[in-house]
Amino acid sequence: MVELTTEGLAALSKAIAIVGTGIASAWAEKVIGAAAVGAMVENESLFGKALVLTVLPETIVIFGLVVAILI
Amino acid sequence: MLNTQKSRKNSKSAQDFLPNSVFKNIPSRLPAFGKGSSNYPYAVTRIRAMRVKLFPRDAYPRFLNMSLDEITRKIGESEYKQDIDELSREYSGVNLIEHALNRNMAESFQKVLRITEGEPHELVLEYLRVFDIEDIKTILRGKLHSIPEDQILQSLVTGGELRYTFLSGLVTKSVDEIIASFSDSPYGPILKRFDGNNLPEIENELGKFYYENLFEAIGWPGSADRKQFDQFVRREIDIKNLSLLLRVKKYEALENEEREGTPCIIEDLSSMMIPHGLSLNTEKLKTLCYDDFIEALRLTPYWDVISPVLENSDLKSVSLTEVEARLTRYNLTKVTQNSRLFLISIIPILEFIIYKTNEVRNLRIIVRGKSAGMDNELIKNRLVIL
Repeated sequence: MVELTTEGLAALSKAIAIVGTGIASAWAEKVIGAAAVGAMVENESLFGKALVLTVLPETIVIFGLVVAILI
Repeated sequence: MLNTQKSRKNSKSAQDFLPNSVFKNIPSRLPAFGKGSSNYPYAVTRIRAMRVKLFPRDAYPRFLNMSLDEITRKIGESEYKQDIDELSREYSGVNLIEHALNRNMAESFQKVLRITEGEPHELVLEYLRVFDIEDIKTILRGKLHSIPEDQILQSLVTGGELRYTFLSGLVTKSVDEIIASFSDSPYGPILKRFDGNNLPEIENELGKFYYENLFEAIGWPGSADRKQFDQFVRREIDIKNLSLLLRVKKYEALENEEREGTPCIIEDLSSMMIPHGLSLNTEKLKTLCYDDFIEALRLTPYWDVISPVLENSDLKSVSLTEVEARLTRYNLTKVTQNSRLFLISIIPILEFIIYKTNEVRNLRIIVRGKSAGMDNELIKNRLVIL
């Protein structure tokens, strides 16, 4: 029988926080990135705006990292 | 060559679950493809960027105040530049503009087909098959009336699945050979019934087949955007039926006026009506005389749109072109509203297709009207500006 310790649960929580936010930001970047590329194909001048919008979901995984550090 | 009919999956169709008669007789199916394999974000954003490049609404009044040469120059500076440049060696004046517009429209729709994948590609392809059907009709009509081959070729708009090389090959063949070329295609069974004298019947059948196929592709409109697409198509059917009914009823009324005192004679329009419209009961409307027909129209959602033209106007002066323009504007407005609600869906793609078609239609009306010396106000009433 595996014993559940406080340290073990904390590590598991940190992993969930990182994995969850990582998947969420990846999904969001996939959608925004595809849309940004679509817009840039038709109008190259949108590169700057598209780049900012594409990396914006990175903040989600940073939140996850902060939560993991605080746990 | 044409694709044969797609395999029919999920034989348990939506009509088995529906109590009402909306989908009665439609060979409906549950969608066999989901959004998983589609590329909505990429396609929708790119197509929205293409939509921005269309002429804005305030461009049309400016076009109305220009001469034909000025219009050609202005169009030649826009997205139509390449088409105008390439075709200017062969054509000039109104013909140059018209061919450039048609070619550009076909190219734009081919581009939409290239950049969409999965579900949006399937839906757009089915919707654009209307151009295939129009091209088949054009070739058959041209052949039947011995129109020169180059003139038939000039009238083709290859916006659908059939390629220009395939169609231009057909134009050089006889009617029997043309029909044989389609024997393996979904249009084959309908075209086989062509005997040289029943072209209108075949055209009606092709029109009905197109909508049946389109409904089959839409399937059971489970998601909100599919429901909107379904409603758009059914509204389009209503508009076609209503335009035809108005035209025939006006003709019947004028005929009956000449035979004073006799009861009105109603033509049998059963074969011409396209089934599965949204709000019109064509079964009832087609049996009515003009006055009763107008009374019955008051109960439909289209009355508010067409009443300014039909109400209090003399029968002979009723402009059916204006009625059609108003109905088209109504349908376009509905799509525009919905494209803002369903941002990442089939609706913005559909919006581009119908706005592009409308732009080409408007520009054609302007250049044809101007070359015929029509009054600006008269041309303006026929435009659909949103």
